[in-house]
Amino acid sequence: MSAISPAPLLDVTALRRLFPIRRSFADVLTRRSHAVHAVDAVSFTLNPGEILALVGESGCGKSTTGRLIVRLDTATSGAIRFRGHDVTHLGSAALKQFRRQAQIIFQNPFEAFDSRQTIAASLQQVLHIHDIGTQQERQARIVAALAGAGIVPAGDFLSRYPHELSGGQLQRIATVRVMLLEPNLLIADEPVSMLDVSVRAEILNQLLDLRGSRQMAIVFITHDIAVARYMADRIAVMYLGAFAEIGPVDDVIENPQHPYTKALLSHTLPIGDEVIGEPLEIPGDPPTPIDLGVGCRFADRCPFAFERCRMETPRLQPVDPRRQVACHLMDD
Amino acid sequence: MNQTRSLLTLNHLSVAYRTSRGAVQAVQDLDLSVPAGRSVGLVGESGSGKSTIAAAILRLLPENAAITGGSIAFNGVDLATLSDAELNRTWRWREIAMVFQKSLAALSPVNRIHDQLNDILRQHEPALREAERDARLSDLLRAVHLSDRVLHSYPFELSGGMMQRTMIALGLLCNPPFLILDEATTALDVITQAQILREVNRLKQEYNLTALIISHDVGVINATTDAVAVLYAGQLMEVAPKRRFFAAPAHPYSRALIASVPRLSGPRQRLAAIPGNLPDLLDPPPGCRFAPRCPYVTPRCSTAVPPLYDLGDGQFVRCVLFESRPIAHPAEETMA
Amino acid sequence: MPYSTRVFACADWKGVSVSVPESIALPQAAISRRSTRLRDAGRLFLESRYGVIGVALLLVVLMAALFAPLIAPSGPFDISAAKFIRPGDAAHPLGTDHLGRDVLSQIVYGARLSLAVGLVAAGISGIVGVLIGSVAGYYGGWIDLLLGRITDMFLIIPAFFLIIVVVATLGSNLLYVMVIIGLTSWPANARLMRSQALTLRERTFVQALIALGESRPRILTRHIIPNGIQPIVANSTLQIAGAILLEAGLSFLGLGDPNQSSWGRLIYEGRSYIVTAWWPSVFAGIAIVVTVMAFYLIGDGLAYVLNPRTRKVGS
Repeated sequence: MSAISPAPLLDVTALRRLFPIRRSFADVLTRRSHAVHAVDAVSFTLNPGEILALVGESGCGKSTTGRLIVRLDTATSGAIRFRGHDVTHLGSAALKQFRRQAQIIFQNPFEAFDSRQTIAASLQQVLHIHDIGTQQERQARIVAALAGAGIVPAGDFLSRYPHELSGGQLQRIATVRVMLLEPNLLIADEPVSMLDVSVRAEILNQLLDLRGSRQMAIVFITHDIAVARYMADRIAVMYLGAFAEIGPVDDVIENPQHPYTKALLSHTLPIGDEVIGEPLEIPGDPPTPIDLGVGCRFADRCPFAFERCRMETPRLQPVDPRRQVACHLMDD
Repeated sequence: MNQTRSLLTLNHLSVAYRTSRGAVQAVQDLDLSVPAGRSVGLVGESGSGKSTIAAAILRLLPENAAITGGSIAFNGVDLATLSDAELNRTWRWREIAMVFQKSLAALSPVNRIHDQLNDILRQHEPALREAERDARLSDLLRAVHLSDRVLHSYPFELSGGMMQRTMIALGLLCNPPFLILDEATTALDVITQAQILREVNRLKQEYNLTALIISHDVGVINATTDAVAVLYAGQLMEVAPKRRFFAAPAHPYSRALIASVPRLSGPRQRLAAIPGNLPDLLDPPPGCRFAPRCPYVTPRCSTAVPPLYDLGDGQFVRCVLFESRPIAHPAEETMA
Repeated sequence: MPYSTRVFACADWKGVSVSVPESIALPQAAISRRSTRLRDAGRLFLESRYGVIGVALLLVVLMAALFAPLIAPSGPFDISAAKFIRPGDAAHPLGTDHLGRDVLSQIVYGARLSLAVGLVAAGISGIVGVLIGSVAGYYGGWIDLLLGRITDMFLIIPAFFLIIVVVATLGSNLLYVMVIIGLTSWPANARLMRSQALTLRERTFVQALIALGESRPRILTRHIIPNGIQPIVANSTLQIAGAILLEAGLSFLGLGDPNQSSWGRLIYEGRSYIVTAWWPSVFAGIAIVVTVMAFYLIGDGLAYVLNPRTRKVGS
């Protein structure tokens, strides 16, 4: 398999992030410690120019995974390899180099800029940080980048402050800002969920175009499977910090294997006369992943759970060459 | 379809905000009726005025806003003319209940859910005995699929879904005939949202509720309503039976809105983005407020606000593209 | 924000408090945002009224200090031998003290001292507090722990007592007074700034800057401090007032710098004659009250401007 597939751009292995919980006095006496398993043994690879959607409900660890990849947070264990180099514990100089190549955009565009800086200052700063170009070149680069993203006339926007712009405009400019560095990898953390419906398509199309023109790989984090379908080549469904399944987007959506994926898909609201099918009922809310023991994380809510699910943690296993599912039902 | 009696009728409703930079007409000359036993969806983006309409109906507008024209007829009574005391005594909560997006803020964080609901129930139904009140509360929670355990919790101990269920139960406390859900499931996760919407549909049947459902999400509107009203920048652009709306949206904005939402099935074609931004409501475009972003714009669009044209079968659209159709007269206007 | 979850107002009826989402209050996205923030802040400050009164009072004191030589009928220590303890007249509007010195002259020159003490002390306090607080809050970890302990240590030093000790051992000098007040009052600022930095470092724009590769010192100095300094500015006005009172208190106890004309000392020296000649003490007291009040009122106005709540509703 590896002989034909290109070298992956990003290779994440057994990534873990535990957030320790403040210990009570009794815990100190008994020497116990507790932790939230925000991301628990996540592994995947991403090829150049590929878009992988991380889909899941709030608290499933999808955003933490994204933050770990761009080193806004540090993994408890596991490894992140970027173009074959381990970037999990880079020192500051190497980290700065890595950051030219791996960038992130966030959910809330109104918060993405320092409100005291003009758009021009914010964009200039990026080139200044990485010492790209002379003063004139920077200005030209910025104007060209804005124009390329359809933000014209660029001059009108440069002197503005963030609060003078709309959410859609700010998100597009936030994307332009990271693209000034020409990264090979972009983490897009729910980039449209705070935007008005009518401007969402613009942002999504902007990202798709960047992938097309620059062969940029994207980890697209979203709670909306329909958006994931529109954006991604592959989709990974996360539940309580771990992948439930991962595979090509159409395969996963048309033929979900993991019961959680089935539940998620069957609860997606149809539009017009779309047929979604009978909802697969699952009781309760996702619990907080504190001190997970053995067994499947989804077992308590899974309508198909059997004894083994509570005794043994299912591992991601290939069901076909491009598809992996973490469920004991697959073994039958 | 049967012509049913309208429970709520908004007639030429206009609402304006006073801001430091001038007046903002957030709702402009709006006609809408909600027939008894039906549920109508108000769909729109930020600044469309959809939440303002909800606040206007219950007369809960912020201090710097006022109803500047029109009437709000609920069961034949014009709510727009009533005093606050009258509204509190007979209308709010008893006749019209409302559930917001972030309900946690409505309850005190230092008291258990039971004590708070019990207090509210005692205010409204002083005749009930303690045991009767408790039974009523348990029944209500069961109606929204919550266990009695919730009653002994504090608000912050509940998940977002449980909290919204509690708020729906609170809404049903006085058996109101009319329920407004204002982005009530917006902050929830996919599965929880779908479950709660299904329960809302069931409760509508069980309690014979009439509902006004406000959302930016056409999926939510699709899941819960019989008819859809599309708002853009304070103007009502289209009213249509739900199926009609999704199958054959008439207004260019309705079409663009539906086309800009990614689907879970069907061909994966490039989404058509709506170019431009929402208008500045301090200085709105004259005439049709969607005109600056409309692909079919004509010079006439900016001369006057187009009337609502009647396309038949309960579909009305405010767009000059349909000027060959008869103009709808609000007085006769009924919806499917 | 389109689907904001913030809540801005509550209407209460029959025990049901219903919160109206902020999105109802103002279709913000749709409203032009062209007006400058500075102008908004100015408008809010004017709206606060107390702030305006404070600025007016401060202007009077400032004028007196700046133009002291023009306003004062004589130098602060000039002795007019013929006129001991005289009430106000044309030559000496506020009268003279027991040494025949003009009270008005002493008060206007005293304004210089009071403002200097207040500004320098609060300045030291502000700079030290902002630096220590922002570093502690932004870097966190053991740095925060260490700076936190140091802050706590300074918090328990009684400024007044320390000054008395210093003055008693090293002699009275205005510089000591200013520096000691400054160095004992910064912990309040450090705590404010630390909590600001703690919030700011989690904000998306700071996260974005980290991801973009900006260095930590530059994020601290160019983004955290400028965005978090407002409460310290408001607090500093109160600290100026506090320093002025402290200096007056020291002088009243006779521990002030004997080479400077000070309101506190005017009261101190006037107290022996207060029954026969009330004016030196009373006018100096009024000067203190007016100046301190000016700063308190300005602080009040700034707090109003900086309060996010008034910002929202006011716009």
